[in-house]
Formats: sequence, C-alpha cells, structure tokens
Amino acid sequence: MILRLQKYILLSVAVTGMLSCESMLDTEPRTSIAAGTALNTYLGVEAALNGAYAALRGPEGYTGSPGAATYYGREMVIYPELLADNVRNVNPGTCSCRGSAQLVNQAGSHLDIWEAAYAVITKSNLVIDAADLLEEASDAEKAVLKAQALFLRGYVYFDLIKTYAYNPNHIQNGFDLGVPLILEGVDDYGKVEFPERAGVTEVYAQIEKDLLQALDLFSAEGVESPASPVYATEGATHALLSRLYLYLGNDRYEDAIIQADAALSSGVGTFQETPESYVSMWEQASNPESMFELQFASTAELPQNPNDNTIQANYQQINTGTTRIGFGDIVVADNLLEEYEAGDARREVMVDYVRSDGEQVIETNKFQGSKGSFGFDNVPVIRVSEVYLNRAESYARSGNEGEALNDLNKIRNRAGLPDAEASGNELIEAILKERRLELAFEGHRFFDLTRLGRNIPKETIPAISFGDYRILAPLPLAELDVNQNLEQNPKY
Amino acid sequence: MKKKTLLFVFVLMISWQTNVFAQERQVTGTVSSTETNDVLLGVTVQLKNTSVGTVTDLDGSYSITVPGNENNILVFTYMGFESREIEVGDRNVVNVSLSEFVESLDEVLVVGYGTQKRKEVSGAISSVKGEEIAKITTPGFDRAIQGKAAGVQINSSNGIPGGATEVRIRGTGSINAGNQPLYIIDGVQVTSDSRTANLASSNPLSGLNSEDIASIEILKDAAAASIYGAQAGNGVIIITTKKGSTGKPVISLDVYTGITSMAQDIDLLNGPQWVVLNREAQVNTGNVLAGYYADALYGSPESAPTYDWLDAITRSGKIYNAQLSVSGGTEKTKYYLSGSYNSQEHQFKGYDFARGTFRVNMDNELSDKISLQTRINLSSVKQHSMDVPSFQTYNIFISGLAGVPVEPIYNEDGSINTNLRSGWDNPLFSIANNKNTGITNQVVGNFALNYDIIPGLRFKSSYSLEYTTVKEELFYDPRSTAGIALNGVVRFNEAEVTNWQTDQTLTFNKLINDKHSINALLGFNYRNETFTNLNTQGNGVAIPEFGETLTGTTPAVLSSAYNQFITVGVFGRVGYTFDDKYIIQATLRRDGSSRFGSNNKFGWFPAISGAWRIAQESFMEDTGFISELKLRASYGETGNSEISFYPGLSLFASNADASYNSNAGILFNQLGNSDLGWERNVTTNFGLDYSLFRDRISGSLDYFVRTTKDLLLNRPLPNTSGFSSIAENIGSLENRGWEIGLNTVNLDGDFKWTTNFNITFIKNEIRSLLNPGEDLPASNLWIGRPMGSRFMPKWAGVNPADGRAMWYTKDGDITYTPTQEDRVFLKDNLTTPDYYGGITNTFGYKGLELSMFFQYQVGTMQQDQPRAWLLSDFKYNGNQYVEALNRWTTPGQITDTPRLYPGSQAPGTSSSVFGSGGGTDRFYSDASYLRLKSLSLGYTLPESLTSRLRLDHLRVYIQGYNLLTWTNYTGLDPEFAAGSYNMGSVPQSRSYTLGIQASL
Repeated sequence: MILRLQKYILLSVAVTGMLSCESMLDTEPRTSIAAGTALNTYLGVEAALNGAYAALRGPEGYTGSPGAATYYGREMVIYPELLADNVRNVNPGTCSCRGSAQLVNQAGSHLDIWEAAYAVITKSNLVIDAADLLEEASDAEKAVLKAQALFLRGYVYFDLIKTYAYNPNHIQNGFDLGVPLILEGVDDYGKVEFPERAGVTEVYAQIEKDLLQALDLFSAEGVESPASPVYATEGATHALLSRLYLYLGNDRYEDAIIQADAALSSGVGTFQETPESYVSMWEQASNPESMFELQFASTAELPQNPNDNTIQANYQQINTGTTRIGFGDIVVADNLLEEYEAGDARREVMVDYVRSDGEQVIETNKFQGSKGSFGFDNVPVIRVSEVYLNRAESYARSGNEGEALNDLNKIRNRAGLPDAEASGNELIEAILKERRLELAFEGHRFFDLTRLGRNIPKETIPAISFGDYRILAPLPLAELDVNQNLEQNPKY
Repeated sequence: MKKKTLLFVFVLMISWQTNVFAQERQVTGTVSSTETNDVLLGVTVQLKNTSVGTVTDLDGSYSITVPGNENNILVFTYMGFESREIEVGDRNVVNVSLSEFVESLDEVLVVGYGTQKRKEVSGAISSVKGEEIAKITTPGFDRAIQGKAAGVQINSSNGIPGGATEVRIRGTGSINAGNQPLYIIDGVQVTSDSRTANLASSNPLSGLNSEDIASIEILKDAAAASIYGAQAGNGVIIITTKKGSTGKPVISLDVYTGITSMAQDIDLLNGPQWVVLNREAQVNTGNVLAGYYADALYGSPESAPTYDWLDAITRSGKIYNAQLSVSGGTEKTKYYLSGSYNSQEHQFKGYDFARGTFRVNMDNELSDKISLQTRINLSSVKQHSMDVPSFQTYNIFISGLAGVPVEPIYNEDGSINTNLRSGWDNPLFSIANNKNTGITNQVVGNFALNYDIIPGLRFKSSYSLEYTTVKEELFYDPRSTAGIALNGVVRFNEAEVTNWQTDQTLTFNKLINDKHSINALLGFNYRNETFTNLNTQGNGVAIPEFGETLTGTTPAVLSSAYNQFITVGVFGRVGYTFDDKYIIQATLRRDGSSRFGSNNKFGWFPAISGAWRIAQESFMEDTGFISELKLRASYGETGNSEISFYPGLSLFASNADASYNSNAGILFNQLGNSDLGWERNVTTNFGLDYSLFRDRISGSLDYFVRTTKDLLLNRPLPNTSGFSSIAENIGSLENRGWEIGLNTVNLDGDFKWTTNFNITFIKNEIRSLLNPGEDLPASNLWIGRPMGSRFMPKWAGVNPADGRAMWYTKDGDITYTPTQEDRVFLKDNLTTPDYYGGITNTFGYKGLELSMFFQYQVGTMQQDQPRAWLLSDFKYNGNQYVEALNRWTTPGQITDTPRLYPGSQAPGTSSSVFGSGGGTDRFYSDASYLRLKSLSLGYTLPESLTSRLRLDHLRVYIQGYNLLTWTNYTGLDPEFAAGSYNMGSVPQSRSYTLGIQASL
C-alpha cells in the first residue's frame, strides 16, 4: 500500500518537474511576425514600405473604427479648405457639421496630423535603415526602396512643417521652431527618444536633403522606376521639390523652375489639354494628371463608414430617390464661385444639389466615387497642373513674366478661358487666383495663404490675420504631456 | 313481492349504513427518500389532530386506519427529513417521498477541486442553488443569479436575450486587463469573451440551460480562489450541473410561455409638436429661409399628422421554453439527461434568440475503487440582431426612436415608406431586408476517472474540452443606407474555439481519533485554448435576392485571426480541523501563462485562512439557540492574466492598414515588453457565519480588502517614436467593503414566510498610477478617487432672461463659456455603487407560493447617450423627447431646457449643449435604482390530485420580470453596465410568463 502511494507521489513529482520546462507555454502568433526577423529580406522591407505608403491614408486603425482620424483619407484634404475660404457649411438643420470648428477657426481646432505624420516617418525610417543592411539584394533594389522611403519622409516632414511652423520667410515674433527631426528607426523600447523641436530652416534643409538624395537614388544605375502615379518616382520627386522651393521663395525660385522643368519632362502625369478632358479626368479611377496619387485599392481601405467619413461624404450628398447618402455638408463657398469667369470648365466639376430642408447648394465633384462606389476615390497628391502653377509663380517672382504668362495661360486656356494679360504684382495675383481655382478642394488653399504670410479671408466670419496665433496648429496636448522637451506653439 | 321489496330496502339500508356509519378504512403505502429513492424505515405516520399513528416497516410500508370521511390528513415525520402533510382524499394507497432536511451547516459547497461542508469553509464563498436559478424565467443563468449573492454585481450593456453580461465580484479590479471572473462549468474553464463579430451582443455562456444547474458557487477571496492562481484574480464562478440519483427514473417537464414588452415608457413629440419646435429651431438660427422651407415641407402644425415610429419598431415579443429531463440510476450507474428549447423575441423588432440544449451526465462505479464521471452539454444558439449599437443612422433603435413623426411609416399602398426626407433608413425596411444572424454551436464536456487508492486517498484524472463554432451572416440590402454606397454588402464570419484541459489531482482525507480532520490536495492543471476566425466581406450584389451568398460579389475583406494561450499550474492545499472547532487551510499554486513576457512566465499564488467555530466551545453550551458562530480570516494572492495574447513580443502585423496598391504590406504595430506579467490581487478577508434558532436566522458577514497591484497600464510614448504606448505592470487600486447576507424564516408552519437579504457596501480607490503622485486625467484616472470618476464643468440650467445654457465655474458662479478650469468632480462615479444587493421574500401557504425579488443599486451614475441625441435641438433631423416642449421661449421663463438652437453652439456660449462633446454633466444622471425584478406566484397541486394524474409533482406558476422600477435615471435601463456605450443599446424587456412543471 505504502509502495503504491509512493508511486503516485512520484508521479505527481514528475508532473511538477515538467513545469521547469517553459517550452510547455510556447505559443506563436500566426497573424504577426517577430520584429527581429521582419526586415531581414528584400520582400520584408518592400512590404514595410507598402505599410509606409498605406499610412498616408491614415494612422493604424483608421479603417476599423467609424469616425477615426485619417490623414489623406480625409483631414489633410478637407481641413485646409475649411480653415480658409473655399467652402462653407450647409444650414445647421441638416448638417453633421463635421469640421465646423475648423470652418470658424475655433481655437484649438486645426489640422491634427501629428500622430499620422510621424507614423509615416517612423515607418520610412525603418525602411531606410533596413534597406542598407539587406544582404541578398542588389544595389539597385536597395536604392529603389530607400528612394521611395526618403520621398515619403520628405513629403511628410513638409506637411508637418507647414502645419505646425511658420514659413521661414514669415516668422512671427521670432518663433522659429519647426518639428522634431526623427531620422532613425525605432525598433526597440531603448530607442524611444523624447526629442526637441528642430528649427524651421533645419527641417526645410532636411526635407531638401531627403528629396535630393531620393533623386540620386532614383537615377542610380539599374534602378527601375516604380509605377507612377501610385508610387514615388523621380518625376514626382522633382515636382515635390518645385513645390518645396516655391515655399522657400527668395533665391530658390530658380531651383523651383529647374525642378518643375524636370518634373514636366519626366513623363509622369499627363496634362489634360482640353476643357472636356479636364472635366472627365475627375471621373477616372486614377487621375491622368496625377504625378503622385494616394491609392485606395479596395473599400476596405476607406475610412469607416464610407457614407460618413470619406472625402466624398463630406463634400457630397446624393439623393438616390429612396435615400440620401453622405453628409455633403461642406459645400462650395459663394466667394469662390464668384471668382470663376463665365465658361470656366472647372465650374463644371461641380454639381447643384437640393438638401432635405430645401437648401440649394453647390458641391464639388472632384471626389465623386470614381472607383465605383460612394466615397471610393484615390487622392491626387501632386498634379501636373500644380507644377505648371509652381513654375508660373516662380517665373513671375524672378522676373520672367513672359514664361510666367505662358504657364498661366496654359492652365487658363485648358479651362476654356482666354489668355490673361498682366504684369508685375498683378501677374503674381492672377497666378495665385488661378492656383486657388485650379487646386480648390484638394487641400492647398490654407497653405497657399500661410506660405506667403497672408491673412486668411473667410466666408462667414472676419478674416484671420496672419499675426493671429490660430495660423499655426497646436501640438497635441497628449504629446506635450508625454514629451516634456517639446515647446507648444504660441498662445495655445 | 312485498317481502322482496322489504329485503331490497333492508339491503339498501345496510349498504347506506355502511356508507354512513362504516367510519373506518385502511390506507396503505410506502415512504421513500426523495433524494435517494430508498425506502425509509421507522417513519412516523399519524392522522392529523388525532392520536392514531403507526410507523413504516422494513419495506417502508405502512398501513393505517382512517375514518371514512374524506378530510383525512396524514402527517409523515422522520428524523433528519422534512415533515409532510398529505391529504388522503378517497385514495386507499398513498405513497410518499420525504426530502432530507439539510441543516445549512451540513450543506455541501463546491470549492476548487473538491467539496467542503459549509461549516468547514474558511474562505469567502457564496452559493446559489439550482432551485433559485430555475425560478427566474430568463435563458441565461447569469441573469438568474443577479442580486442573489453578496459581493456579486451583474449588469449588462444591453438587454438583448443571450447578450453579454458584466459580472464583477468584489468590485472592478483592473483598468486595462479583463474584469470578468473565471467560469468553471463542471470542471471546464470557459472564457466568457464574446466570440461574434457582427451581432450586437453575444455571450458564450448562454449555451448553458439554467435548469440543468444544481448549484453555482462564487469564490470571492484568495483563500477560496488562489487554487486557480493567475486565472482567479477576478474571482471564480463554479457551475455544477445536476446528476442522477438511485431509484426509479424521474421524468420532469417544464414548460413556460410568455410575452415581453417595454419596461419603461418613452415619450416623444407628436407631429404637431414636432412641426412647431422644428420650425422654431430653424428660425432661432436666424435662418428664415429654412423656417420657410420647414413650412413648405412639413405643413402647418394644425394639420400635421402623427406617425408613431416607436410603436412601429416595437412589439409584444414572445417567450417560449420547454425542457424535459430524465434522471435516475442504480447503485452503480446514475444518469441525468435533459433536452431544452428556449426562444425569445425582444420587444424591439429585429432581436431574437433561440437555443436548443442537450445534456448527458453519467456517473459509473466500475469497481469499489474506480468510478467514472461524464458531463456533456451540447448547445446550439441562434441569435438575430440589428447592428452593433452605434451612432449610425441605420441603427433601428436610433432611427426608430428618432423617426420624424410627420413622415409616414408606410406608403398609401401599405408598403414601407423608404423615401424619408431625413435621409435615413426606414427601420422597418432594415428589419425586413437586412440580415444579421449568428449561430453558436458548442460542446462542453468533461470526463474524469476517480481511483480510490486507499480509503481517503483518491487520484482523479480529468479531461475537458470546450469546442465552439460561430457562424455569422450579415447582409446590407443595396437599397438600405448601410448597403447603398457599396451596392449591397455580404459578410460571412466564422470562428472556432478549441479549449482543452486536463487536471490531475490527488486528494487525501482522514479523520483521526474523531478529532483531527486532515485534508490535502496536490494537483496539476494544463489548459490550451485556440481561437481562430475568418472574416469575409463581399460588396455589390446583382439584385437584393443574392444577399445570402458571397459568390458574385467583389471581395472587400478577407481576414483571419489566430489567438492561442496556454496555462500550466501545479497546486496544493492542506487543511486541518481540530475537534470541529479550529480550522486552518493553506493553498499554494505555481502558475504560468503563455501570455506573459519571457522574463516573467511563472508566478507563485499563496493563500492562508483560518476559522474558529465559537459555538462549538464548551463555554457556549448554555446558549443552545446558537448553532453556528464562526469567525473566519484569510489572506492570499491571485493573479489576473486577462491581458492580450502576445504582449511581451515586438510584432509586425499585416492587414488592410498596411496594404497598398493591392499589395500586402506590413507594419510594426507592437513594441513588446518582455517583463510583462499578471496583475496581482491581494485579498484580506474577515468573516462571520452565524446560524440561530435552528436556522431560523442565518447568514454571514464579511469585510474584505482587495488590493490589485502591478496593474497593466499603458505608458504613453511620444508619437514621434511611431508608437503611442507600451504596456507595463505598474500602479495599484483597492476595493474594500462589507458584505452582509441574512436569511430568516419569519413564519413557519402552514403559513411560511422567508426572507433572503444581501447587501454589499463597496469603495473603490485608485492608489497609484504610472508615476508617483501623478494622475491620468486623459484616461479619467485620479489617485485617491474611484475608477469611473468624471471631471467636467457642471451644468447650471438655463438663464431665464435669454434661454442660454449656463454652467458653473469652479467657484460656483455662473458662466456661459466654461473652460477646462471650471471642471469639478461629479459626486458619483460610473462604475462602483456605494451599495447594492437584493431581497427576496417568499410566502407559502399549503401549495401556494408567492415570491418577490427586489434588486437595488445606489450611488452610480451613467451617461445617457440617447438622451443627448433626443434633446439635440433638432441638430439632426429627428424626433425629440417631449421634454423639448419645455424649451425656453420667453424672457423670465424658468426651465431646464435651453432655447432651441441647432448650431454647434448657441450664440453667447462656448460649449456645445448637445451630446458628450459638450463635456458637461447635463446628460449624466443618477443610475441608482430599486427594481421589482421578479414576482412569481406558484401553486403546487396537492398530492391527492397529482396522484390521480399519475404524477409525482405538478406546479403551475405565473411570473413577472422587471415589473417595477424606482429610479431617477433618465435613460432606458438603469442596469446598463456602468460607463458602457449605450447609444442604440436596447433595454431589457418586461416579461410575463406562465409555466407548468410536472414530474413523474
């Protein structure tokens, strides 16, 4: 009996002994992979680069929860319009009034792209770091990965600097802080930094450096250009540099012209020559004018729910006869409509609409669900027309008025309008007006005013003077709480 | 002839005489035990109010002479059994079964890996018996134990039948990890996390038929629960199902049916009122044009019709339940088999529940030493619901409540009007054409082999499996708002859970010299649970009729998930009782979980407890009315491992957020912390159990302090790192309180009245967070305050001069532009009530039984989200509460409802009045309540009648559920789980059921 008892006690001890073996607890996530192995291969880095492009649509999780903040999925396109004067809200009675606080430049309600932008930057950093370390990839393969990541990093720092800091030519009260420059990938808790804001000029210099390096890599031997316009290309990089130099102004107009020339001869993006083709290009799934276009490949990539939270849903409501889809409560402002001359083809990229309370409104048709369902559109981020306007303004500001008029009239004629005649300041104003009309609703307006230090005209409230603190977006409070080294923008 | 006639008369008279004067006859029968069906020897059988009596013989038989009239009552009394009085009627054979009288002290409780007599328990355990559970006609057992056990709070975020419930044992112990207790059904650990993707709410425990339950034990302190180590931090609920007993088969049938209706009225504007107010709101914005259009569109108030949308989306729902069980057995083999079907229609259209279950419980003795135990439950639950509650216009609850009363529900031809000016779906259209169903099929089974090595020493080898599949189908009709943009949406979601376990235990019990009682347990537990799912979505259907197949649609979502966890533990328990007076018990578990970081896989979970039964002491001998007076004390530690599956690892994921240009991408989505482990719950408990006057007054009293340490908190990281936070074990909180249970038999005898009362006082306090002395206001967490505290400007009503909304500044002055500075703490918090509990009064007279159960909760508040929508000044084109009629219109008017202004903020104010965005307490209200949860009246037919029907037992009853509620809560259901999202959540039903229970 005792012997048998001992046997069972021994058995129990043996069972207990098994516990020393931690391998019993081994489980492996199948829908994730360990960070240490993810970026060791070309395919892994390429997939991570895809993730960086995708993050331009919105921060992680934006597809999962209705109303989640996005980046180019909505906010970066519509907020620069709301903050300025191209749009207004419909009557309160039928208004979801999303973004209505931005429309009246309410204190604290501004662009909030910090998290989304740094998500793209940190993803790009991981690609930039990993590309160099790849063992089984050719130099050309590494270059094409790195070039695109540099383009993305430069692009997004440009968004950040124009949102959170003054243009270097229009610093107010000596406040010349830019944004933190994070240039190395964070792949371990130990690498998390608590950075300070770099100076404005330092950030612009870094953007230029990234883009120039991207150009070098794109043009390196054996590099095959990624497919335009959904990926970054040499042409898109030139186009972005022309925008960058235009923003920097002063002695950089020459550079802007050189970059614009290179962009326009790159073969990326096709200028639409006729009013008819201009109007119809907005119906196409991919805009032929796009030099860089953010791709939404499936409705699963749209912000949830497409009826409420996409760009189209904010700009358009449609009445199917049985139901009304979309909010469509951000409509074209009267003062913008007045700017269009008779016969302007761009006025045709708008639709009249009667809302449920009888209000007659005019909606933009630039985002019309061109990919087959409501709210399903790509976002043209850089268009050929913008590059012409970048160049026109650079010519005008550097005194070459003939070339400036050529570029301006190229845009005007294409809209079905006659040649413009102007010179000096008048010419510059004509180009700026054209830029407003051409790029309306695409997320340029607010920045085209702030880069020049101009007051912000408004449709329903008094203009916001450039000296007003609301010109700059506030840094997110949560970020300031976590990182004591950050300084908030003035008066927030 | 005459002689013959005389003879006839004589005979007739004789026989008459026999009837009138033949006063005595024999009644015979056998007496047996209800529990074991064994015959009982020596039962006293007495004719009531006489000295006529006898006792049963060896066969349990008796024979007694009774008077010839039919008012005879036999009284059966037997030591240790409940007495019974039986009407004889005109029967000559009266067979009786007597139930054992269980003194509460000898009641056996199920504890972790074993059983204990109540008198020997030194930890804090509540027990609810199966009869109590079966009394409440609700499909889920969790609803049935609401308010019945001290220290257990049960709420839910919606009132959907089969929906999830929120069970909190001794408060909320975690901020970011799970708060649900560990459920153990017949030895099988089952996770209560929802496994559905589209249904508004579901509960994996709803596959259990509550009538199969023999008892539910709730292990509340570490002394009782630490045997389950890192799984037991939130307490343990052990569910034990019925088993058969020796004797002839007992067949029981229980059928009930009923109706459901709204538990609370909702008062909305009628057509004319709506037109007046809507126009007024438009005019107030200065938009005369809109005012004009309002007239043009909706006509004048005098002629405005009223269409009752609320009526259109509600109904009188039906409840139906039937259960049949057979149990019985021999010395060697005992069985309990049952099958049940339950269906419920909610009062809101579009929410249905149906369940079928089948259970087999077998116990076999193979030899003197070896026995087998088998428990198998099969269930299939089908739910139909509308969307997950949200602020969406196609949520039928919201679009139905907010339906514009001047818009017709139906077209003139009787079809559903889908051309609503509001742009919303007609909810009736969604109900009729959209689809959202889920079917959960589940097997929960346990097989155990017991081997009695020597008397007192038992080896038990137990193997368990829970296997669950969930199939969901969703369809958004292309004509509905949800489906129109994508031209129809079809989703198929499938999930599978495989949860298998084994437990190997060695138990030892010995009583030495009648004084020293020793028990010991040594065991090993392994659990491996895998959850996989497959989610699909196709967009675009050719025609609405193709809503039930993905074929032909354009693939939009294709995703799968795989979550696995493994736990391993070795544990031991030693108990010693001296002379039935002094009890000491110690447990220890070494527990590991795959969820923990690589530096922290295993932990120790110890507990110690003791008890002193004072009433057994010799100096208490004189106080004979006290049968129990036991002091208990315990201290120990349990762990909460309800954290995510792989929090220790740095991971890349691949999902739609990372794919670009139709190429899959990856993203670095988790920065791991390899030190991550369980949250530690340290519990101290002091208790007193008492029983006076032979159980006329009994109950217990507990004081507990539950301190949770190493809380899982997310330390925020700067977004410039690409991550927003990293998980860390830091911070602590405390739940401390009193639990009082009191059971009294107020009247005994023919008329019986019993009361069961329990109350729990609880205080929750956050002790420390991420950094010393630093609050986390962004997460609504403040050190020294309870979880669920709210800090916001207080609403001060309406300025009588101009109808503007007012708030208080922090100094108590009035402001129209409250700032962050003006925030104050609201009096109550969202999660922890000051006290809660229940009281049941049961009155019995002969076969009649009336039972009233009240449930209460005091000292929480709730944000009433639908109210914010339904008092939104026509900001949205929907209906409003009738309260909107009180809106300010004229200077000097005293009212609580501001001047109607549909804009984002009224002129001259800075804060939005509407919704939660306003960040004020206007739509928070006190969620304290007292609810008459159930009232039932039952009648058990006297045996004389039942036996004629050849039945052992027959009871008919009616029951009302959620009958009356006293509350100041403004919302739809004060039982909505505190702090939960309640926009579009459907409230519980009021129901009336009629049932019959019969057994033979």
